[in-house]
Amino acid sequence: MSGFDWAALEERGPDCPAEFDLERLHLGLGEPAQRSALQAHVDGCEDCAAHMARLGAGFDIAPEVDERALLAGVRRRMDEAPRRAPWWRWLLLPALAAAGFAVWSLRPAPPVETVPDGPRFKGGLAMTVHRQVGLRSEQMVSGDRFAPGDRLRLVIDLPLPGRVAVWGLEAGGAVYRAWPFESPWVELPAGRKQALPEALELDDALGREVLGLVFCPGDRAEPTCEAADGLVCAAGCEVVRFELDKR
Amino acid sequence: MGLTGEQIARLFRTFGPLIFQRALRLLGHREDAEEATQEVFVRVLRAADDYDDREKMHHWVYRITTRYCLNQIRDRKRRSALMQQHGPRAASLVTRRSPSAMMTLRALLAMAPEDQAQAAVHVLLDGMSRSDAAEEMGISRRKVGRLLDDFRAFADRHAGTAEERAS
Repeated sequence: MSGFDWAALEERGPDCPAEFDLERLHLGLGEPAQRSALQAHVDGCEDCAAHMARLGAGFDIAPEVDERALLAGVRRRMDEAPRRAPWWRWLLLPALAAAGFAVWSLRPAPPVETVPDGPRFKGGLAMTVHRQVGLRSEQMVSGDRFAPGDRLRLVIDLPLPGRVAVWGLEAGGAVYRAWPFESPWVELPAGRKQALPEALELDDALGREVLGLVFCPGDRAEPTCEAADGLVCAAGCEVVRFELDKR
Repeated sequence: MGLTGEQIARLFRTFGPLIFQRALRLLGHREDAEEATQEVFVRVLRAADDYDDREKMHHWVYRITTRYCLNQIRDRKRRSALMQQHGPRAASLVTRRSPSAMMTLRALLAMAPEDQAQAAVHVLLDGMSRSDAAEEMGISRRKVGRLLDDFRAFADRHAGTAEERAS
């Protein structure tokens, strides 16, 4: 086994400043003495001078890029940002609630579920969320305030063996799979307090976000979700939701 | 956000190219970098509380671009698309690194544990000191060192698999 060719990644010398610092120099940030020292390095370093020249060229380094089209795309995305609900939505709520109750009260008896083989225990599906703070973690409750970059550990109770995934619904309505990272789901046995491997790291999109533990007993359904005015997940699966207030 | 169109355009002229070039280096494909530029810039505007503080704005730009691109690399569906789009010509506009080495590295960043991947981007790609990377990640310098050691060991162990995925 030859291993990874680390030399192929080397772009600048070991004494060269970080890209972040070269960007600061490009933006004119930092104390004058810092800037002078960086500039002196750049003046004597072909690689860093080339990097600075690229930064100075901006979008012009790629002739195909249309800056105006990108800016138009930015404006379009900003316009798509959370729209306010119409005022008459509140008038619809009582009517929808009444209709929902009528449908519920007239529903047929549910079919008897065949229970997959395997160990069972008393109790239901549950998920607790723990935020890592340094070397320890604190248990959070749904609706708590979180920040971008927070690292979360999830601990779940499963009443039956089955397929598990965790899905997220962003404030902007986008749905994404939060866990697992490498496969669509993971099959887990029944049991309490099962810590899911790998921490989730919250991204920088702010607002109220929902994490949904999606559990499909046995091996019949796939724990997938989609956005449809909320987090809507596959039939035959149960969902436990946890709300994050990201600020 | 309370910004006028002219203010948004001015901020975009300043920070948009930084996002684009960084995304192009990390993702290796122009269209992905353009998408990243728009998405990251909007997120920066939402995250920042003082648009006149260029220090803070630059920090948000660096942080959000890194996380966004790393998430793109690690996302399973996006990853297969990225692996199919070599784009060496586009990436060579912003880096002299070997395109094939970058493809392999992207596969390794996708396969490695998340915190190792993040440390690798800060230190091995961006040239950050371990102290600065530790501050950026909110962990100790020693922990960054351990993550890098682990990532290097992981990369050496899985280089063959990563090269296969990248090719």
